[in-house]
Amino acid sequence: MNDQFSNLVAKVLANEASAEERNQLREYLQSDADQQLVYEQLKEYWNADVRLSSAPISDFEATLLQNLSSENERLSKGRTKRLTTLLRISSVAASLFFVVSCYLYFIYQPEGSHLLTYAAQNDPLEYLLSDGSRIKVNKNSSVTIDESFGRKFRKVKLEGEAYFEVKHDAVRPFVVQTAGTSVTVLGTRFNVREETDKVITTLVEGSVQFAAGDCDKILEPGEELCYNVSSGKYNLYATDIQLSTAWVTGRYTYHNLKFADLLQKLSYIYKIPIEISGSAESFGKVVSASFLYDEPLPDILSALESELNFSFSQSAGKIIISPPQ
Amino acid sequence: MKNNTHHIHLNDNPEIVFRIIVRTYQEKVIRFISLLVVNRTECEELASDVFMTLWNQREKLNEIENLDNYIFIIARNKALNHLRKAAGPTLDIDTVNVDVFHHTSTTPESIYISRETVEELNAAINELPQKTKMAFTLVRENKMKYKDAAEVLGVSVKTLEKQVASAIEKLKNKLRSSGKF
Repeated sequence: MNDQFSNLVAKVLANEASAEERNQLREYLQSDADQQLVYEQLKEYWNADVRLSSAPISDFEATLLQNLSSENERLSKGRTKRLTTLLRISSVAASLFFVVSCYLYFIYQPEGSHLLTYAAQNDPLEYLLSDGSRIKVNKNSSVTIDESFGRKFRKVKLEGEAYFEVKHDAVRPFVVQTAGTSVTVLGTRFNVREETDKVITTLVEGSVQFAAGDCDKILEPGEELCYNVSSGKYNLYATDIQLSTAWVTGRYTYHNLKFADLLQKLSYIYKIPIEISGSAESFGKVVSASFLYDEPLPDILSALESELNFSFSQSAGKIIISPPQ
Repeated sequence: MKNNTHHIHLNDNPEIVFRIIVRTYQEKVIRFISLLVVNRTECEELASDVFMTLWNQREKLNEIENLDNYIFIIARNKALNHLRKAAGPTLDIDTVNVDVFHHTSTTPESIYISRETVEELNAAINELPQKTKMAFTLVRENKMKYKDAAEVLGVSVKTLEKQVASAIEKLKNKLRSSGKF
């Protein structure tokens, strides 16, 4: 049984097990509490995050790109002569190709290329695309794809706001186009929101490239880029990703932060000033809180009120937190 | 006609796609090479070589079905060539003995197992033959399918399955003997 047990555990952890094998392991674990514990620890170890420590990764990339450009320069010097002839030939070939492809394009163009629009009116809706990517379209927003989707690129057009969970595919980049900007990824989770004159991209996981006008930036997880469409100016900053993704998950969840910091978050989320007047021991407490995306602010404060021993009142467009009466 | 204008966009910008590939894979590739090559600087130079090779073959990339595997196979070949330069052509991977957790930190998601246990289990993995270590690391850290990991390591799927199972066996025995269950 021992060998078989290890093999079963390995397959289940590596996501290689059939449904039958999964059942087999489940039954086996249920009959033996010790094995169950061993399994839990193995699973925990398996899923642990192994990271390169002290990785000067940014240096790595910079050095690599530098090496590449000097390599390209060296190559191009050696090849200049041959290249000019080649270029002449290829420019002829290219224009020929252009004429032929335009011709084919007109012949084979069906009545208007097929467009498929995923839209949401009053509530956010989730869709599964043909490549396995998931999109959640916020209310009053739409995502449009045409029939070329998935051939060479996975290109979508966004109006409004949507959250993307892009299935990893290194040879078919996923491109989101919004108001003349484009976000390019291979596989990752991110949010794109169009506001008046602005496109705001928030990266949850992975790596995306944002391009528009002169702006060409690669975002790190936890970063947000706000691009002004009319001025071409942009801002790249670290953000609390929940502020941009709570509409997707339906929740805000905060662990171990000071009560005062939680109030600051609430103030930002509900766009209302919150003041602390007076002091109480509980105000310095470290709290964890999870609340619904559309929960009214007074309900949240009422829930915390007795636990954290404070009282609150609302007046003149702001909320005042004070020690209990 | 309007819908056709964006098709060329990325073909014109292979640099962008390349930069994203580098971003996505750099750490994985360095990590993979570090399974065979101890020296960190050498690892990074070899990884840099891997991406250079990829860049020089960019025109071919669209034809490659599994870029993940392709990158790791290039990395494996670079690392083995590097080792062969020192050890001669008859190099057997199992004679290489690398601490596979050198330069890394392992962080479990919850506090279910202690730091101490994690280190003990890391040490147990390090006692395994080199090929088994590599099989385990590829499947566990890169979430590779058995089929893909087998291709990268140049072994059969059955062999790979046995290697991963024996790594689990080793871990299980470690947990049992130290009474950590």
